[in-house]
Amino acid sequence: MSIFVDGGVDIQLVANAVAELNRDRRVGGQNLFVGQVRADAHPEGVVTGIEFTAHKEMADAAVSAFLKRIVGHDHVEPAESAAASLSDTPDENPDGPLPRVFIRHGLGHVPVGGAPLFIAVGTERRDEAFRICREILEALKSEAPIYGKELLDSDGHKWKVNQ
Amino acid sequence: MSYVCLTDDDIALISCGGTDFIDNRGAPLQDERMTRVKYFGPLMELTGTDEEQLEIAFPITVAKLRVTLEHYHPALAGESFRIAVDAVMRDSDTTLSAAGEIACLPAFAGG
Repeated sequence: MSIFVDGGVDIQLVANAVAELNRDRRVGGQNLFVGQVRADAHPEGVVTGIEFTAHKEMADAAVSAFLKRIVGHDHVEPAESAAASLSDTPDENPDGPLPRVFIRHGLGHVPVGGAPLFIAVGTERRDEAFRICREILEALKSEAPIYGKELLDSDGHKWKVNQ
Repeated sequence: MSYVCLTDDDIALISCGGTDFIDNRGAPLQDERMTRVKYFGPLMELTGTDEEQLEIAFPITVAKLRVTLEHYHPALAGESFRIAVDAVMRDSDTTLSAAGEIACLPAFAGG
């Protein structure tokens, strides 16, 4: 499935992912990363939001490739439905392969304070949860053709550069 | 449609056009001779477009394709970007016999 959503990532999706992992009796650790648009002050103006664009086909293919390398599969979990989070019954036969991975990236306008990126990883133990989440984050930044135009309060803009 | 004909020996761009190929129902129609060229990130501003149709003389190496694009869009000269052909990143010495889509990709900035 595609990692892309219109606008910022809905924080309800974060809750859904946590709830979904809560129901997976194989999981002993969750690690979550939420990227947030920061009000950077540039000489040209202060950032009010970021307009994200991407080569979606290539970015989704890049995600598939780096997930196979990092976690041994390329299954990105769905979490758009709140139905799963409403059940507190442990799932005896969870569908997703371990480590379980949620990734979403926003496209279009994301205002300051909004979340253009969400990664959640569910693993058996904590060390791999931290490591895998970090590796996915760095791979996404370096391998997926995604671009951000920082919109400034001066009505100008500045192209985002990853540090 | 506008055409630009370039005769420089180093240049492999035969013509270019907008997206005004229209079928009889008014839908855009892809001219089979044309290759879709997409520009991403700051390259959209430098070229003034995110997508255009160019007629490119194949076979062509990726290096020569880059020179061709820089000749057509002088603002691209000196810019750092990679070229993907049909969604696969290609090295500069790769020879292309055809391409449905060419993507010009500067440094990624997601997250």
